[in-house]
Amino acid sequence: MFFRTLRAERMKLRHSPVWLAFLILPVIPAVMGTFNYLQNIDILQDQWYSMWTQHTLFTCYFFLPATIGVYCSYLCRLEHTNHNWNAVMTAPVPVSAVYLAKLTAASVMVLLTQIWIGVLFVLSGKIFGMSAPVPPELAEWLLYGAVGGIVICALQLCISLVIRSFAVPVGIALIGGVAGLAAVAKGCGVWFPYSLLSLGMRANHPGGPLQCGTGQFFLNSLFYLAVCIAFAVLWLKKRDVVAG
Amino acid sequence: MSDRITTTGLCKKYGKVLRVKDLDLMVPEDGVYGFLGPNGAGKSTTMKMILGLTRPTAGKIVVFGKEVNSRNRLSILQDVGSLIESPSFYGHLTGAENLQIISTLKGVPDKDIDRVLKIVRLENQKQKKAGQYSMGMKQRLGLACALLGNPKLLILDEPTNGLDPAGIQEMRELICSLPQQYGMTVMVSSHLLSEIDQMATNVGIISRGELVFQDRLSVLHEKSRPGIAIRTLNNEAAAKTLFEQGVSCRPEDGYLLLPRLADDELAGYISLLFDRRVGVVRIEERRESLEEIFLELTGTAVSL
Amino acid sequence: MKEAIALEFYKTRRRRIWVIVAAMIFVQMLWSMWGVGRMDAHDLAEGWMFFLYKLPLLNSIMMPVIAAVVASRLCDIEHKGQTLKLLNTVMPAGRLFAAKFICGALYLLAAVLLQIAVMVVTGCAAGFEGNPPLGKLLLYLLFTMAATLTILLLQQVLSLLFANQMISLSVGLVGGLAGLFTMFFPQGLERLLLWGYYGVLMLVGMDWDAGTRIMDLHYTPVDWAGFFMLAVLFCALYMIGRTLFVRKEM
Repeated sequence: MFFRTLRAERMKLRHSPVWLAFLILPVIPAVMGTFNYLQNIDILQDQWYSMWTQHTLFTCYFFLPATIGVYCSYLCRLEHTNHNWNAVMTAPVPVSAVYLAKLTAASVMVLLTQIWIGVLFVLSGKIFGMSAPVPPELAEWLLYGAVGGIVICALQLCISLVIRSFAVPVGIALIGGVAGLAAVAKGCGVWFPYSLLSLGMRANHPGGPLQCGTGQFFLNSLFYLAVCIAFAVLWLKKRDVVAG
Repeated sequence: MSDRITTTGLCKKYGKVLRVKDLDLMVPEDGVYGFLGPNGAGKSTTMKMILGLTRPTAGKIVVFGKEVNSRNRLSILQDVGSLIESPSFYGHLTGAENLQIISTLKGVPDKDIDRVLKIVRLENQKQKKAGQYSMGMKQRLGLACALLGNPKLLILDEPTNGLDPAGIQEMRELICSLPQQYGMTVMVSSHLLSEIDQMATNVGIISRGELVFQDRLSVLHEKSRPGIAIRTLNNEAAAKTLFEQGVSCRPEDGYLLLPRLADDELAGYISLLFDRRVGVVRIEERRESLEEIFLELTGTAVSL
Repeated sequence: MKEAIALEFYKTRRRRIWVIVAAMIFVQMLWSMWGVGRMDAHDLAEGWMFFLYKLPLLNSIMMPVIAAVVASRLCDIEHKGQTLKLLNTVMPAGRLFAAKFICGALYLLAAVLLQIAVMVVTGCAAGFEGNPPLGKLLLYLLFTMAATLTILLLQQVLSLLFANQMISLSVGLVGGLAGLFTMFFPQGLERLLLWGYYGVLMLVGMDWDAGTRIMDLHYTPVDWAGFFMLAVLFCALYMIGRTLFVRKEM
């Protein structure tokens, strides 16, 4: 049942220029981050680790949440137009499958973006002759970051389900990202959904362990995911379908 | 013979207003059920409640012998095809791709797509993006989506909307053929009396949220009270003569309308008119049109 | 023309565009006030310059997105209701274009004025040295509006020409990101990118003394050449965008 819905979701995304933003977006922080690193190489002495802070700084707090917001808005936009909710809600699939399929589609994008960020990172370092070996924790950072990204996807999908405009959830995502910055600075980053991304990617302290503790990180991520899924399913089930 | 759909005391309240009041629908298994009513009467709302898109404020709905609730809903919907409000589609995908999405969700094999495209005559446009379809084509695409998987029940909300006369005829013939050919129950809503008259076997008329008539179409026709219209060379004299006999008649368009009379009574009055030298040139039977019956039942005019 | 503008505001009744704009400005100003509480005497002396340095940086991230959201909301209603066809028969397309732009511009003007108000109030409350530099604040208003309006124009063109709002919002995001980063680049590159003009038209420069780790701010001469370039870009964009919209087949 779920796989059928997932396949249908993939078909809906055909002919959509979605991946373009995800492809172009990480390139800019990669280039700029590398440049910034090279400019300040005397201060930033930790090689790969310092360059990582430069690469991830602006991605994690502003542009990845906003891009996820755009993508989730688009996923829901497909159903908000042309009275499509009527068709979606009369299909013999459970409501949870509908939401989870969209969440999966968004999460796949996040995962691919993380891989792309990693590739760009390694490339930039190699091109500029970074002598040290590539940090082994890179995969870990990308993975944890993906978890944080998926939490933002779940949240943005819920927002886009409720708010039928395209642009407003993107604005909210950006606000969320900025607020995430504040939350991390205050030390309570692990409690705020938008900052889980940057915590996971170790945007501030690449060398060490998670600032908040691994257990707490996963627990909170799971908590937010569960809340979002529950909200979305209840919302779709209980509300009368208004397709117009 | 059982009913496909039964509702008991169905109500829906929006805000403080009861838009659907105590509806007791009975849609029999065979034939086409025409759901008739003026705009805003509650047809779409009722159909949405049957499909589970809207939650009733009160009442019970039974489809395929199972009560519609959150547990049964999906298994019921597996055998239902619907077209509600406007046809739903993804504009950036072709017609065939749109059908493929619905068929994937319903678990229907791919070759069914070609079958339904052939039924609605959209084979030549299946590679065109649905956003570029004309209104009639979108309507046909919506119908094709509803037909996928050969459902046992088809619920169509104003299916002839936006079609040209040829298209309306095609749609009508198609809908009429579905019960015989595929054993489907079809529930069609419309405010076009002429269409329902030609398509339906059973009719339910809803007005301001209440069901004012529900029976076979033939019964509805019988409600029309046929009368006699005569035209004479001197209508005033004829009217006076008949009035003396205690028959009230009404002049209209050069004719005199008489109430329903038994044949021998009528023959008597006509020969009386001949005796009075009033030349009778036309004797016609007039039946109340469906429009007039509808008007009486709903108290409102049929809208355009 | 006045009616056309009034109509645009009427169309957005109950859409509460001002809510999202206000929320974003609110967050931005909170961010800008970060660190104001911990300022010492040296910082307070440079207080106004601090704001005039920090705000353009924050603007280059937030304003393109705010402009994109405003433009998208204004144009989306037309696409959703398929009203472009209808409007084309009752008013010239060029006028619709101008009216929408002015409507959006007014929202953004309100936003920037709000920024300035918050700056003045916070600065006085925190005890920044001296009176608020009115001349500089007016220049800030002019330059911020110039860059933001040009971006709004671009966003409007994209939102009108493409029914899929994803394109215009993605461009807005990418542009904002790029603009931010040109600030870290040598001067020349900023001028090539529309979103870099927040940096080009910045009034304050910074000297970072690596040894003492002290940030010293000073006023820089206004880059009128840059402003002129921006104005030219605006006019060109307006003419091209308007023509594209007017010629577009509904």
